[in-house]
Amino acid sequence: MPVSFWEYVGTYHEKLLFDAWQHAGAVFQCMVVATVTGVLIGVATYRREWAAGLATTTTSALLTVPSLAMIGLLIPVVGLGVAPTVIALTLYGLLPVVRNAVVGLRGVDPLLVDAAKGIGMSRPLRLLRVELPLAWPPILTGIRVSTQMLMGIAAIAAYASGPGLGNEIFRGIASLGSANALNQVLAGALGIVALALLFDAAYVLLGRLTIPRGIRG
Amino acid sequence: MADHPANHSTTGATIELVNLSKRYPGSRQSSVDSVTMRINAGETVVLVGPSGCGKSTTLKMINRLIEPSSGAIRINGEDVTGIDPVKLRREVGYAIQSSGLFPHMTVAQNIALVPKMVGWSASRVRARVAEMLDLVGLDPGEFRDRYPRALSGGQQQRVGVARALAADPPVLLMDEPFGAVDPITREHLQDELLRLQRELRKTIVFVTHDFDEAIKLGDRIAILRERSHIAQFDTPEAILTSPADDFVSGFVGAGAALKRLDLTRVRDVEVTDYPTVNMGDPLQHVFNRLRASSTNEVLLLDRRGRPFKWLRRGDLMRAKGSLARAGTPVHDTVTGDASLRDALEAVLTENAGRVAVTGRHGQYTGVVDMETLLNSVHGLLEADRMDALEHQHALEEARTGQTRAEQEGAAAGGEGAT
Repeated sequence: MPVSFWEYVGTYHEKLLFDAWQHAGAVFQCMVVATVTGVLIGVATYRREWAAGLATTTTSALLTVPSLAMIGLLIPVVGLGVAPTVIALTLYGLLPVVRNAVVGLRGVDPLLVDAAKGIGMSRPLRLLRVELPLAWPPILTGIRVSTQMLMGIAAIAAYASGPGLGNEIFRGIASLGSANALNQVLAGALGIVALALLFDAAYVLLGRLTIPRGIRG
Repeated sequence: MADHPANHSTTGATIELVNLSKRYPGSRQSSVDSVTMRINAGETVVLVGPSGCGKSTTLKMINRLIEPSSGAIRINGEDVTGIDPVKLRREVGYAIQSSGLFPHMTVAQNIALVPKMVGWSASRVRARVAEMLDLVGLDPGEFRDRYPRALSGGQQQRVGVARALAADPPVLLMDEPFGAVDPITREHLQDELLRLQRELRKTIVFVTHDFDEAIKLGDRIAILRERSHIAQFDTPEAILTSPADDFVSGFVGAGAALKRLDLTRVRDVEVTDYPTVNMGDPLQHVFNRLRASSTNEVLLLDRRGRPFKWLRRGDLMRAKGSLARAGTPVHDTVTGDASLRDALEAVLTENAGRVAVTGRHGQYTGVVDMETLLNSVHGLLEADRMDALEHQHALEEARTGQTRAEQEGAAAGGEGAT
């Protein structure tokens, strides 16, 4: 006798919350790593046309690998569990960040870079005080796009016994026809959508806090 | 002028460029070819020339935004080609076109950048920001916390100058700073810069392609032809009155009309007839002449018909019957052979907007007034402007090919420069 979706959620809310927490945690941590790495790659490559091109092409090539295949390929190398999840999520998260970092840094008005140089800012200072702050809005957009994407991809991680709401979905798919199969898939999918919306709201807030009024659109 | 330094601020330093050259890799010709120039402390030198002549490159070599290929730069005698460029730039103010303010920082943050970098205390920086805003004519209370995009173009440019001067550098480099603002604002900014410079006596090197701006701002002007070759380096007056060659006169362009004042004679312009009276004339006759004329004064001629005194109505009242002691003596007269420049000079020193013209033996022949001068100069200006336009077109056409080649060379070198 199939129970209603809300009854299912009521009964299993502890487990669902735990999965959602794990899901959000995995995405968040991987995003932090992807952001730091992505911006660093952007900073290292944006000055040279060929290097910037190489960085964006490599990361977009990575993105074309289907996530299931990627995890499948990682399992023999790093085993099951958290490791393949984190590696896959970080790799997928890189592309939008790298691309937007490169575009953002290259898009800084050369006149301003010239001015920064001309008033005696050293190269690291120029990067920290002028170029990165000015490139920050596009970088933040990249981070947002990445996060949305990772929300979905993280569900696949359950295939490699990873954490998160993907477990609900996979369990549901494995027991299709049983009483709670549909509820399980639904709970997993809706949970991911809810998380994605929460993250997005957080990014809007982050944007308000970190983008100076002088360059806010 | 250098003997009035502002009490608490650093005044200018000398700048010497010695055989300074820049050649971009992959380009056959150097963009700047062996410039040698000495700029005195507290002096404003304007580098002016057609686009692509290397004036901006020359300027940017002074703070080593562009590294010279050879030659030396000495500031106050110290060779700066070997020192850390970041340190050098903190001691050399730099203002550029469309202000170069950082849009993500407030006005105060922009101005505070250099003082903070050189390690001033927070309170000193705060005071300095207010002082600098005051100096460029912006109210600190109102503007301190604004972002650049909330300022007009002229205000942004003022803040740009304030930022360049914030750490009190002895030298200020300005790269077409007023190029992107409307003409009226530009006039104001130029006046403002002149005022600032009277107070501060910095050494200013100013790049522009606008010769009128150069005339207005420069103590001396260096007119550069291609590859930054100096065509003439002299005071504005000297350049106007005796341009070194055709290139300079072509570049002087519309300004040549001033020079035309020297080449045009008083007899070539319309001389006005003024009411005159003679020494022997009865007072009543003088009154009648005055009443009948449209002017408020008559010219008293001496017994030989030479201009002697200017008589106004009030003078006659006080004359008490004798013309001998009434009126203002004629200080200066010009002959028909005098240049319009002389006439203008005389009109200005006579202080009443007119000067008497004399013929042979100093006899009165007429009067030149301000209006006549203005009208004739106006006509000359128009004619010269047309000539200059044609000349500039020809020059520009001749240069296009070469400029393109240089720019390609510059791009290949990985650094854009004009």
